[in-house]
Amino acid sequence: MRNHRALGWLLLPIMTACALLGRPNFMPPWRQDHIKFPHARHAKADVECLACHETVYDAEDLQARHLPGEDKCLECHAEEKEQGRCIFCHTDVQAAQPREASLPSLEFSHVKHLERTEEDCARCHTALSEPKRGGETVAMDRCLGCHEHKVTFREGRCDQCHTDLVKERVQPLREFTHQGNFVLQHRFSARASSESCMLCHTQNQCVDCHNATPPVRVELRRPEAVTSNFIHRNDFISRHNIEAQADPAQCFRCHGNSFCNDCHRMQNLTSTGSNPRNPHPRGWVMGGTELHGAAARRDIQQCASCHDQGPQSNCIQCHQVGGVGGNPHPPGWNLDHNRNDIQLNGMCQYCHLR
Amino acid sequence: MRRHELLATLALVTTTTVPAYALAPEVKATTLLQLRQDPRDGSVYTTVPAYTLFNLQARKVRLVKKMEADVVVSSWGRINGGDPVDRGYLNGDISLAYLESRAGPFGVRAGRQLVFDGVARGAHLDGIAASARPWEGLGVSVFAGAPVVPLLQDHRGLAMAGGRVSWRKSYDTQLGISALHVLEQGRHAHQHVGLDGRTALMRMLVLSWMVRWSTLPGSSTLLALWPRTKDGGDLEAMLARAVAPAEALQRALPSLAEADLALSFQPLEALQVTAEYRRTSLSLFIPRSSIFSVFSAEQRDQLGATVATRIRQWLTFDVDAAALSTASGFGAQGGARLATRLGPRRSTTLGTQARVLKVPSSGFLMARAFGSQKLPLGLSTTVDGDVYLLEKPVHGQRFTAMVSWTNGIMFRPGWDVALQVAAGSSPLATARVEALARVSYNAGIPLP
Repeated sequence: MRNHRALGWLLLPIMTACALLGRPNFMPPWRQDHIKFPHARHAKADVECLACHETVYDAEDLQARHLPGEDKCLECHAEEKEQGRCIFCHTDVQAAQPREASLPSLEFSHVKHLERTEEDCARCHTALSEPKRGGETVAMDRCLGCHEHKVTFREGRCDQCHTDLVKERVQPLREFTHQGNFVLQHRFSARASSESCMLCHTQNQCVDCHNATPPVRVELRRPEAVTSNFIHRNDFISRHNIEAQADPAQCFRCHGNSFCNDCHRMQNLTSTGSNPRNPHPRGWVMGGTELHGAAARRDIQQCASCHDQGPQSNCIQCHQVGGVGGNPHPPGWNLDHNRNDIQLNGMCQYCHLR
Repeated sequence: MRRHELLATLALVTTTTVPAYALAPEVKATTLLQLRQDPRDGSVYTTVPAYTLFNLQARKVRLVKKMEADVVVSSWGRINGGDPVDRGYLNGDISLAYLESRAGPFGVRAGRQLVFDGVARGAHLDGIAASARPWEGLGVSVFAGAPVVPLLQDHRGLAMAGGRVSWRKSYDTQLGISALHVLEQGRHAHQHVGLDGRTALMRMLVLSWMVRWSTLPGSSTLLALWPRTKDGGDLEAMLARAVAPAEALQRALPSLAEADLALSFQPLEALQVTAEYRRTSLSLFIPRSSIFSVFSAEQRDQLGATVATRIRQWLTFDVDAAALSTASGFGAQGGARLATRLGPRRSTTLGTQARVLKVPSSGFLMARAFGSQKLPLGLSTTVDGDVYLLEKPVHGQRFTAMVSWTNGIMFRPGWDVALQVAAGSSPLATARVEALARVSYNAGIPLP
């Protein structure tokens, strides 16, 4: 069953690619047809914007593109079509297909704005598309010329207007820029305002680094990202115990508590390995508090990295109540723990009631 | 059907049918073939894993009449050639698979996801998260589910739930209170309550902080650290009487699991200075259900500062330093990095980095140099090398060094191929050689 499941994962991209390719009118990115429309030449010929984009009169959202159909072009350019000069308008007529529906990423009503601007489209559309320049979107400062949006901006509630910033890729302003050492600071933003992060990002970006089940280190996936502050760069395994001692909490953010033990077991470093190798010096156990006891007080996580097997942990054998190892709790333990806590914590009962 | 099989089926159905309905799905697919030496159990093995990683995001997928949702999926598969560490030749998992829908101030996200709110600490879980902004400035979020079982681990009957209530005046001025409860095998593993906030003291000075307490019974550490002799005595009895009220208070108070404070000063767009203090205690990461939570009451303090500067558009310099205090003693860490982007299109990157880490029992000194060059026709080449000088020898060797050379080509929009060779010497394998080939297609998913 396990193998079948794994095979399923490997087939995922293939099946998804098939699903993509099977979409009606799917065309790879390098085979796209574009209409070559020179706005400047039409404006010079005194063609009104609304003569072609007349549906914009009733547009209360951006669901439709409001682009004229071919019949509108043929009102003036029927001759070129009759002569078979498709290239007069199309860049690759073989790839021509119906326009995809608009996927608006902005709340905007043309109806309200046409009234206020007295049908002067150029108040907002300052730079129109030309055949060799591509399309130009309206810059946000055209909006802010009339609307202040102070409160929504301060609160980071961009979604009042921008319904899809992931698609829009608007570069953030001032507070929302990731200046300085943002990688180090981003934890505060994520804790307090993850919904603001999600306005522009999806978790597909988070999971590259924050992943409980990573298949391969991000350093290997992106070897060209030499300026990124990756944690496990190059020969991390040789220095992992030093890094873990410096900040164990950072390790455990992604790796579970028994990750160390599980990996060390495969290396035969734990007592539950198939042929375990003992890394401790002579007298480690019988030396008592001077050796393993003192080490446990100082860095219990290092002990847990090999010996955390729950009730099977070899600590219990000696340190349970009445055992030869004596009381393992740190000084002052009884001050802080009520005896009734034993009833509440099943783990205590492995030593105290069995 | 077991949980993993159910998840697999759901993911398979989602990732293959969603693109057909989504108007503009964005996908990223990466295939990696690696040849590496794997030192373990006293020997060096050769492994040849092949990975496929897949990310998809589709927005505003219509589910029912007027209900739309964003779909995000991230999954991977692996074939292990050679002699793999876990003796498994086929493997795979889902990293993310969730639906997210928003309606006005309300939002809900269901499936495998990450939760970052408050004390959740980037929890990776299978479950549901909901958020609302019912009144101006006020926010509420809740989540519940089963934590994702980390790599190499067995499922241990985990469950978690939590939430956060917040008030926000602006992006830089907000306050939140959050809670988290984790069960493991039916036992309380973690129970945390936290306060977090950000305050813009001035426009260029921002204070960010978070304090987390463990609220499970007997989590206190303050008086547990009080020194006591084995047989006691008059002096100790007198002290015990003196601190009795404090002990009663102590039992009632939760213990501090984590405190995180950062003061960030950014007088110029190109200069940021941050001072940080952080305290973590054992109850942050060792669950109460582990036997090891009873042996120690250690904690760790870190105080430091970082400076990030962009001296010129083409030149950045970052430096950081911190002092550490642990139960074993004192330590320190620090580093500096200088990076330049040269050429008419910033096509050449050169940089150097140094880092030092000293913990009570060990430490290292690192030096690194890196460079990359973008070439015509979508070609690029990258060189990255580092050397670590270890304070204490590992297997008799006091250093580890690695150099990698990567060449890439972007041959179509979104498509690229990269080949990497790496060589070095480590305490675990005297001579180490690795190779990596990567083919990736990215249609619209930005890199982090």
